[in-house]
Amino acid sequence: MRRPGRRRRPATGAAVGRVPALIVIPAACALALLVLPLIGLLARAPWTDLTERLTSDSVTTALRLSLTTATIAMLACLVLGVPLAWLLARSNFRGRRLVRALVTVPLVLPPVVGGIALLATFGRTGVVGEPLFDVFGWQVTFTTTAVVVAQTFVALPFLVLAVEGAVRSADARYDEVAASLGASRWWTFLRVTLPLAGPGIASGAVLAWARALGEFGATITFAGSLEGETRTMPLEVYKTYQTDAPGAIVVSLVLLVVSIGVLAAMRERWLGGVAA
Amino acid sequence: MSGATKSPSGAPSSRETAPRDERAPLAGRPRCATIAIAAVAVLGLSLTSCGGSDDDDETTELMVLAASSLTTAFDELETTYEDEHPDVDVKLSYDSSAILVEQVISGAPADVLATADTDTMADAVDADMIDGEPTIFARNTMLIATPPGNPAGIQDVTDLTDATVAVCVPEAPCGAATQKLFDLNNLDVQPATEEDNVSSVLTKVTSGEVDAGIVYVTDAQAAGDDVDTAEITHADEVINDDPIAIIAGSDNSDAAQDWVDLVLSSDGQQTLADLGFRTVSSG
Amino acid sequence: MSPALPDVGTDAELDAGLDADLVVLRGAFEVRAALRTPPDRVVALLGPNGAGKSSLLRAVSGLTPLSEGYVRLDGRVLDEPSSGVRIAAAARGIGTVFQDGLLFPHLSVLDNVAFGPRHSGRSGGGGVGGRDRGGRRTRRAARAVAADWLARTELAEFADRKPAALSGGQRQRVAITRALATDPRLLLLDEPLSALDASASVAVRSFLRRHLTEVRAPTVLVTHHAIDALVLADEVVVIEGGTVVQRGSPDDVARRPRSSHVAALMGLNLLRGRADGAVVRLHDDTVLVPTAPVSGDVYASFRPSAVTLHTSRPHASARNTWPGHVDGIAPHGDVLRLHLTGPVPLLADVTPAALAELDVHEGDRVWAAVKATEVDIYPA
Repeated sequence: MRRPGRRRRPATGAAVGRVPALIVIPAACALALLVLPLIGLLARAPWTDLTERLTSDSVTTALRLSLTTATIAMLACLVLGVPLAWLLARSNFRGRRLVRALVTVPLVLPPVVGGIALLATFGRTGVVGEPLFDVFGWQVTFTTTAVVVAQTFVALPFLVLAVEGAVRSADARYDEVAASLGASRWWTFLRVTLPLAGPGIASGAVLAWARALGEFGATITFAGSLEGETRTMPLEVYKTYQTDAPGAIVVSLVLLVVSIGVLAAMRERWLGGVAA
Repeated sequence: MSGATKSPSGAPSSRETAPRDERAPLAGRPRCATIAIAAVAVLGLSLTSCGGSDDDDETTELMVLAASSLTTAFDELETTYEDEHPDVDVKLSYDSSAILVEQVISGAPADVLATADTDTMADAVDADMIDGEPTIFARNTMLIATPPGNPAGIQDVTDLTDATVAVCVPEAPCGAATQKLFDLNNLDVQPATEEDNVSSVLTKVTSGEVDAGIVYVTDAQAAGDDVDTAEITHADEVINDDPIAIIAGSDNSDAAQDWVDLVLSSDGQQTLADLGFRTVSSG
Repeated sequence: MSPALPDVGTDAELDAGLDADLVVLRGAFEVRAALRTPPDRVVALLGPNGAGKSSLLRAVSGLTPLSEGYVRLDGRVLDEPSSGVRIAAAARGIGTVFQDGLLFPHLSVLDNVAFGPRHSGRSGGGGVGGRDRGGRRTRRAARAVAADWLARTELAEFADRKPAALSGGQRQRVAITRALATDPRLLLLDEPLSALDASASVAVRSFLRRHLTEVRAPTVLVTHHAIDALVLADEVVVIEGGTVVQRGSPDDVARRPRSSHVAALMGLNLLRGRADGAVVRLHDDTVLVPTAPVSGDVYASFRPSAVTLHTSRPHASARNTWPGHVDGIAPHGDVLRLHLTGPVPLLADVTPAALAELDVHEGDRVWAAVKATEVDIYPA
């Protein structure tokens, strides 16, 4: 006897047949590979002294540093990346393909290689860094700035590629409409192209932020590791793991929860239209 | 009213389509399944062959975990050992003692553990991961290393307070020793970076990225012309004892014991002394 | 060097309104046309798809470059390749209504209409109508202008809605209002009704009719529907295959087409021949007898409803007869339009009853006849 007011779920896909096992099995394995390690983390966490560890100075300092640097890096990516993405998508300059290929290099580069490259350029003995140090005494390594630089370096391609895709798919005819209404190229970019590419820019920014937050190899190589200055959460996890494996799990959990929380919140607000 | 419309092109619309081959989709499925099974089988075989050791081979593998400061020393001893024991292949893994102990406690399949101080070895002992008692086989002290030419003009430890300095993390033996040295000198030195092992500190110095780094005497000696050095006041009061021990549950305890014996032998001790270690009076 | 285009005649250059000699490259083809449109006039560019009409419009608005010729508006040169002058589209003061409307999807109707007043800077003087714009307006001022326009075009109720919430016809009306709100010196409409369904296009067509009369600026309307041209325009320019084939008043073009394509657009039968005073000889030696004497090359046009069909050769008073085969029958209003093939292809309209009585079907052979009084013969 059916309960009143209860709707029956319509049978979906019944017309085409059940999903083949050859698709379900690998998919299930993929899901397991992604989910099981998270469950393992939760299972082995030292729940008894969790609070004590969570509120320790080193963890809160590292968390604050991570959130700050990742956000600044994301903003840097936006400021630098959106114009580059627009150029790649809309203007037909010579060498465009080469530029696009160069932009994707940090994507395929192992992060530590990126760190070494940054050292070779901006380090005290680097191509750019050496004259700056000799003349002004400026050194960027071992500073929070170096952390932001390393994070921006690895996160920029994510943002540029996402935004380029979004701008490309935004109908170029609207640019013509704006011109016909008298708007200059700059105002068209600001009031038409950017808003229309909005969802794409938002998801690119989120990707960049997430990548910056999780950055390890380039940071530890280029910026070093010092509490409060350069020791971000991933570096804190690594350091803690050396002497205190349960403690490392706690720090990992913190990072996990914060990342998932922010991603979930951002997805709701800005990506709902695109990803849904 | 009849309103028959003729299509402008005049082409006849085809009412019948070519008959579909009903058997084709079914014929494809068994082949797909075969490929999938074969792929899984190949994967499985290759994975299993990676994990286990080849007992059929004549060579045994001896896994030695050693602190970074022992890199050059143990590399040389490896050659000596393999000359004397041709049927054993020595595999060396260097890292911060703290990390190595953590690995051992987690059950890493290794045979010998050599750390850069007794505190880290004690953690392994407390976790019941050591067979018998660890033996001290060498001693090490620390000094200041600077890039060649000492560009920042570091003369002694007091100059470090205003310099860009790299040290080990306090949890590592080199870091603990460094901290003790600073305390003995009543100095509050703010390092620019805390590296996870002493090799990384040395790299920061040799690459010229820092003004100075606190490393072991043996590291500076091994680096030769790549670094200049300066003494630390009270350095002799902070001695790191390097213990060595056989890991519990090792499959190659005989080979492991041979290694320990080599390290403690007069040949071994000479090798260590040549590299700057202070030796223990061998028994 | 502006090319001498014979189809325009020797009008003096206009100092007010649009004055253009256009040569535009479209892929491998060239499109050539001269347009002279004084203020307060609506010119329709009529022609089949692919004739190049939209390319001409894009050249005038500045979205595509001219390859030769010039564009002058109110005496000011906007584009002249020979002297290197090319003013950006945004600075021309030309309003355009696009076929798909293209309202900004992320803005409300009000903000769409306010976009022009808000973002267009000085474009060399005030708008037509004497208002001084003085640079870009603030958001509030622009919205006030927009609200005023929406009230004028009876669209105020949609002001806060997003374009996605409007029907096609409503969107197009908003698009027209948006272009008008910039007080353009020239208004261009690129197939404004083509994307609309039948009832929406009727509504928007009458909307245009009402509001175009108020627009002081010259207007150029591009369309492939003859009815748009006939209803809205003061002058019709027919373009086909990249050139102007006929221009004149709507009446003139509708009644006296000078090409088979124009005739087809107007739904007329058109024949060509040579007259020697008493008789007109068509290309197939068929003879037409005109009601009044005429000589030289001529066109002969008559409406499909003037054609009578017979199953055998008629000997009655209509002396203009041709044989043919029925190639197609289509409903046309409440009559049936037959396509006849043969030496003289024709359109014939018959009532269903008449067709039933004739017992004629597709593929049948018939005779078509038309009374001389129904044939309009005019010089080519």
